Amino acid sequence: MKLLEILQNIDRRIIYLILALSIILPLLFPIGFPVDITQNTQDVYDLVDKLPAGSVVLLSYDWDAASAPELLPQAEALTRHILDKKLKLVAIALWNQGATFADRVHNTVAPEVGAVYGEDYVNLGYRPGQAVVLNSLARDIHATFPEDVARTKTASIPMMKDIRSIEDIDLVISLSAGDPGLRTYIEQIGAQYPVTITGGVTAVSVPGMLPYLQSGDLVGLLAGMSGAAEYENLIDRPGLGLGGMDAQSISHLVIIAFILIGNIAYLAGGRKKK
Amino acid sequence: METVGIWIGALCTLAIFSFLLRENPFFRTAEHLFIGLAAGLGIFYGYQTIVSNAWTPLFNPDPGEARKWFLIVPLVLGVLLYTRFLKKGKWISRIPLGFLVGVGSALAIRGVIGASFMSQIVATMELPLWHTMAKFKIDAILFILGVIGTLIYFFFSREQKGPLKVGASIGKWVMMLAFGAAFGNTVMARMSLLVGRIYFLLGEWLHIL
Repeated sequence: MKLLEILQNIDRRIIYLILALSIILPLLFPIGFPVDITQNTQDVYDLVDKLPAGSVVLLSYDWDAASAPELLPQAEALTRHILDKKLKLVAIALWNQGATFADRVHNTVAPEVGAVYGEDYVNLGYRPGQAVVLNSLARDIHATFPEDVARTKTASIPMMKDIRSIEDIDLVISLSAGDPGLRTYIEQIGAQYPVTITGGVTAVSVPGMLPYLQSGDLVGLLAGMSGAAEYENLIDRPGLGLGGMDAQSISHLVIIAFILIGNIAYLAGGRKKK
Repeated sequence: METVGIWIGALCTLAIFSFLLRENPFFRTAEHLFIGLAAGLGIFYGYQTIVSNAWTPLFNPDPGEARKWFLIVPLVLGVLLYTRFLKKGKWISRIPLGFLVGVGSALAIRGVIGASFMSQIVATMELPLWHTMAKFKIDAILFILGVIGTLIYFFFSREQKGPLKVGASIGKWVMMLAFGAAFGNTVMARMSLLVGRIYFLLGEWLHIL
């Protein structure tokens, strides 16, 4: 049948165009699909929300530009929540582009919530070394990160005077696009020190992190852009996460449609040949 | 300055997307630019880390702070890595390399055994199987069946027939479902990246969002 042949030989550029439109149109004309809060996102929110003012949160930027659309909204939502709650935020990075993204998030969020650098939050930057960095950090943060991103001595930063080792950290959050990242924190910090670890990952990493949730080594998890959207919903501050959910949902429907069309055409064509 | 950055980002994004039509010089240029920048950034951070974590505490300590002489050891080991470019002294580079492999493996194994191995086994053993069964929740039963089935699938000491074949078959189906879920998440992740780029083009660049 001619239609089956056409369906099986759709020009890939047409597929790209339809996919692009399925993202562009919902961005231009938002539909407003409801975003339900999953238990894993609620757990992350509760961990941050229940910390008393002045508690210290370590937020690790373990990703690069390739994962920014998923993890940047998570970082913004978490930072907004942390600083809004008057918690102390220590940002570090296990990936070299992470420190730049931390700066970007701080520059956006800090003025909105009136947070002051060095008193409410700090960006200690990136250190290479993966698991070695975490082991060293757990014992002595000042020796591992002697300077912040602006090359100010860590020891001279007011809020860092009493934050010297992992024992001074109340919650560890790793936003991770792979290794080193959340798994490294669980293995190197969580397995050895009594500190709660939570985090956010790209959607592709979610299946790999689920066993750690089940075992209790990880408490709560933000999953990709949808995790960011849910968190934005919880703190009632819409951002890129919520803004992109319509586009993501429609694009998924388009992909499902293409998979169904392709398979139906293949099966129908195969039967005919037999 | 920010506008220049946005324009560079937008043009590079379009150049990379142009690969969808066919390979072209714009795509190649953007690709090389990205690789060069990433390498440059890596070198910069590596250099900065050596200066702040080793060189300064050793040779230029803050007033009142003692020199950390032991840091000469990692510095020398680091330099020795470059002896691999010497024809006769190539073997020396194996000393720091051995140190790196030893420390890296030890740390990895220590962490993996605790969190990724023992903790997972204990958590599976502790699943409240009978309790959840009584409540008609089948999650735990499916979980246990999946774990046992998958383990049987990779049990090669005996021919897989009879009960072993049934177990292996369950394991195969569980793994297929897991691969499907993983692939679904991969698609979702890739779509998120595309949404992010289009959001950037329409919002920050063209200001129509």
